[in-house]
Amino acid sequence: MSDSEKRYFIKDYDFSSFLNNLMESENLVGPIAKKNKFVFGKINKTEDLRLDYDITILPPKKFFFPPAQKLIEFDGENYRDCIDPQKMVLFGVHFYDIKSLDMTDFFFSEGQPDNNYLANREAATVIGSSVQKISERAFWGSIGRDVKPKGHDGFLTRLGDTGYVYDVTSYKGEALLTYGNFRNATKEEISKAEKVNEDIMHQCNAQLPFPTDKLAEKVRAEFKNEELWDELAEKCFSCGTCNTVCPTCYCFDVHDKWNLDQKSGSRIRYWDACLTSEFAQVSLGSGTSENFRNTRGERFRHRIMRKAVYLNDKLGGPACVGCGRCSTSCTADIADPVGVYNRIMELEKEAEIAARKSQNIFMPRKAMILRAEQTTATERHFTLKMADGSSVHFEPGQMLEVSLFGYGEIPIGYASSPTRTRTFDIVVRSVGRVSKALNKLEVGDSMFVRGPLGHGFPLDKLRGQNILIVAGGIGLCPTRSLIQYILDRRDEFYNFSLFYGTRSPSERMFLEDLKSWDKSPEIDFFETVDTAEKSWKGNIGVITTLFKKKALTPDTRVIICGPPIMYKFVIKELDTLDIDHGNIYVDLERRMKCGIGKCGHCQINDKYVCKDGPVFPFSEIEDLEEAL
Amino acid sequence: MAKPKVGFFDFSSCEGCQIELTNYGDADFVELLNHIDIVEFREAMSEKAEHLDIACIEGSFTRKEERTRLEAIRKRSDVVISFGACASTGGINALKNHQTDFQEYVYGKDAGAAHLQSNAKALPIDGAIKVDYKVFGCPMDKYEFLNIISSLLHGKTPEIPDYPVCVECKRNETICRFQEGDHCMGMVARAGCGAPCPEAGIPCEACRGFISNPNEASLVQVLIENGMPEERARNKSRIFTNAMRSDA
Ligand SMILES: Cc1cc2nc3c(=O)[nH]c(=O)nc-3n(C[C@H](O)[C@H](O)[C@H](O)COP(=O)(O)OP(=O)(O)OC[C@H]3O[C@@H](n4cnc5c(N)ncnc54)[C@H](O)[C@@H]3O)c2cc1C
Ligand code: SF4
Ligand code: SF4
Ligand code: SF4
Ligand code: SF4
Ligand code: SF4
Ligand code: FES
Repeated sequence: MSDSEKRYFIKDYDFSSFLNNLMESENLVGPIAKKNKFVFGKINKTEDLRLDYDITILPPKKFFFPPAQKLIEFDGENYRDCIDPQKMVLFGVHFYDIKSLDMTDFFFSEGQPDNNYLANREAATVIGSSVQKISERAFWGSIGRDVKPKGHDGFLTRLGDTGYVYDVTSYKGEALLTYGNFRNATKEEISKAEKVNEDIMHQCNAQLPFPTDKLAEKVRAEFKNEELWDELAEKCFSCGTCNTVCPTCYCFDVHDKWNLDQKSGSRIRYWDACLTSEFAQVSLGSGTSENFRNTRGERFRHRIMRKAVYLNDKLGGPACVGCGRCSTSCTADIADPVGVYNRIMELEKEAEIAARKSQNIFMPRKAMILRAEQTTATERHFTLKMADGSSVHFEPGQMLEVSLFGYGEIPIGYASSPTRTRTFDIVVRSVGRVSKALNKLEVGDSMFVRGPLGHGFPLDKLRGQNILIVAGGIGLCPTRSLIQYILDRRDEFYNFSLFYGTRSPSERMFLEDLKSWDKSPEIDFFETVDTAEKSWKGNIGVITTLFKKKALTPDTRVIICGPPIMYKFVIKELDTLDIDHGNIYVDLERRMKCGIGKCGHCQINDKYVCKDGPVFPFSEIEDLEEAL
Repeated sequence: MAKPKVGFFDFSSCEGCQIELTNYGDADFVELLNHIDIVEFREAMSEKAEHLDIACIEGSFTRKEERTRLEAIRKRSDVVISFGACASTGGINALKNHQTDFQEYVYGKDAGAAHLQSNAKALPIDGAIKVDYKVFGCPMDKYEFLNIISSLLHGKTPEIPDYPVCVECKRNETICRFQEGDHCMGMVARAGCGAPCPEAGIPCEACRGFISNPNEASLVQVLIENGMPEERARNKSRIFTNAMRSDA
């Protein structure tokens, strides 16, 4: 069956009769209002169903793994199980909750399958629906993007007021077709639906500071940092709310209870919470006990480890779907995973600063030249490696001071991505004393470097967005770092376009890169030269002429790097597209000596380009008289 | 097995907890009587017995002479259960503990009368004698009481929650009071009640007392962050927890 055969369309006009038929024949459950919040509950009339909900207080796991679930009923010596699945159609589940159901499906099936859960799950038809409103603390746009929603039976995507595309993913989902006036969806409707679901991924307020693959590594590295966990958990009430509301928490406790007759009774399981103080406590007899996670910090750490680290191998990604329920529900407002990861990120920076404090800030380190290539008449492209073999950690857009003793030190941007570690590239244009001396060096020679310095491109603000890079001339060097980065982590970004302009074909750099970008479906690459001989087959004209070639949405994040004159014209062009100045990033060049905010050379009004930049949001500097 | 002999005693309290006990509904209460022998129950009968399997004590210890009575009960009972907030945590009675003018305030010109004199502090029963199990709540939850008796009948240690009310509140999928611009003490209050108060749209006042390790500092901070003046945040809901505060 091809994709289009499994996708149907139902008009908005027909939707309520579809719901009515469903309600009459099935036990229909979906998002309903509870005051100004939402919960999954029984749909008794079509107006009850609120597909415009942002999030429910409890996740849908409650239907399959109820907060209190009888496992066994006993009467003296007799006992029986209580598995009694009720058929239901669970309607309107957002994709992140579908992902979480897939996780609990996995947990309850692995090893010895737990039929108390699985039977309920089996009896349900789960129909997803597109997110129409985003809950304030959700961050599903930036976590576990590689883990795709699955295990549901159908998925409805709302196409404005026209209707819904219904994506059938199982025979149970197929069975619902008989209740409504469905027809095959057209190609256009299908691609619109895909766009709706893709677009919403970029609209969460909250975003993770690390890409998902770095998450586990960074969080785990802090395991022994007791101070950190105690600090994070200082306000914790051990109330377990962050567990109770989490769609991927599945721990439980079991209690036996007698009925009034003192003969019969039941064995019941309850949702448990690893944040509560008794969770890991064992009795040692004679009234003493031992708690394996005695402090708030230890318990807090356990949850974060479980969400970000422990289960990743089994699940292929973090055990957190980014629903933000814990963030919203924690009365102390400390449970938010994004906050925790941000704190870990800060620690890294603090450690770096502390390490630098103990050094002479002007001491460079030796780097070996692994490759040296004259790319144009004046530019030389070097690949370097630290002489002590250490890897280099930097962000695209950061720079370093490069020097030769006796000649001097100059600021140069990184021209390769940090995703390709151990080596890094720089390109030096011969203009004066230092640059000319550097450009005489050959493979096997060494130079001296100090960095990374400054702030690069704001990756956390770029992730999940449409990106346009406008590079003029040598401006392609620092942006190449970002281009490579995006291509290496392509699925973390949305549409990606690159405009590159040079004065003439002979000034074009990175010829092999240009060729491969031109062919790649991952990047919309457009190039132009100001003037050229007849032999030039490409575009001729200034860089702004490229704007005609590509439709850009107003939410596009734009990076501009090139000669000063270029900025004004490019920004004029962006204004006609209604692009917010806060979403435009410019990479500035100034005379620099120290690179660390001391010498004063690079100062623009109250900002130091070396320390506060060289990358700035345009909105931050547009009113500074000295900036552009 | 002979039916255990159970006695009920009351000290400084409103006797609301005893009334709650008889609120089971006739059938349930009669069923309970099939399993225990009530030999002393001030509300219901006045027989005296020598040895008791279980003594259930209601009310706080707040007068000197009560100590002798309590010690006598302890001596002739195998198991002592304090039931209700007054008996288990000091409850409302403990509100006087950080005040000196409460007698004038309550009794006016009669404040000096001999029969109105009491200790400076109202204490839970375990302020005088060893208590084996506590049934929390104001009034106590009759089903929890039943559960505890039920466990004892079977020689099993009763399970009494030591996690906060939020756990039960969230299981009920109640909208948190804080999200409705209100405040609440569920984060430090001992669960077991099923969180009926937030469910009814009113804050939990911790009538079951604190959990074992309440984060009092955070409670004050969170109340302030949610718009409560500092002084009130510090003193919020001492009504049921005055004797359990770190400054008690
Ligand atoms: C953030 C940043 C990133 C840069 N990235 C690159 C790059 O990737 N490749 C590249 O070839 N060039 C880059 N440059 C420009 C490069 O630093 C200058 O070409 C270089 O400083 C010229 O020094 P010189 O000794 O060769 O020339 P001279 O003319 O002899 O310079 C004397 C001194 O003036 C200062 N100076 C002169 N021109 C500049 C300038 N344009 N920017 C900053 N300081 C200057 C330097 O302190 C230099 O030591 C970058 C500049 C900045 C600020
Ligand atoms: S982190 Fe927040 S929600 Fe979780 S136990 Fe602590 S106070 Fe409760
Ligand atoms: S940890 Fe928080 S954000 Fe992640 S799935 Fe659980 S409740 Fe949602
Ligand atoms: S705990 Fe409450 S209901 Fe029970 S006796 Fe004390 S004041 Fe009355
Ligand atoms: S309403 Fe009270 S008990 Fe319920 S979650 Fe909020 S703070 Fe906890
Ligand atoms: S919710 Fe709080 S105030 Fe209400 S019964 Fe429970 S402990 Fe008492
Ligand atoms: S280069 Fe010295 S202050 Fe910026």
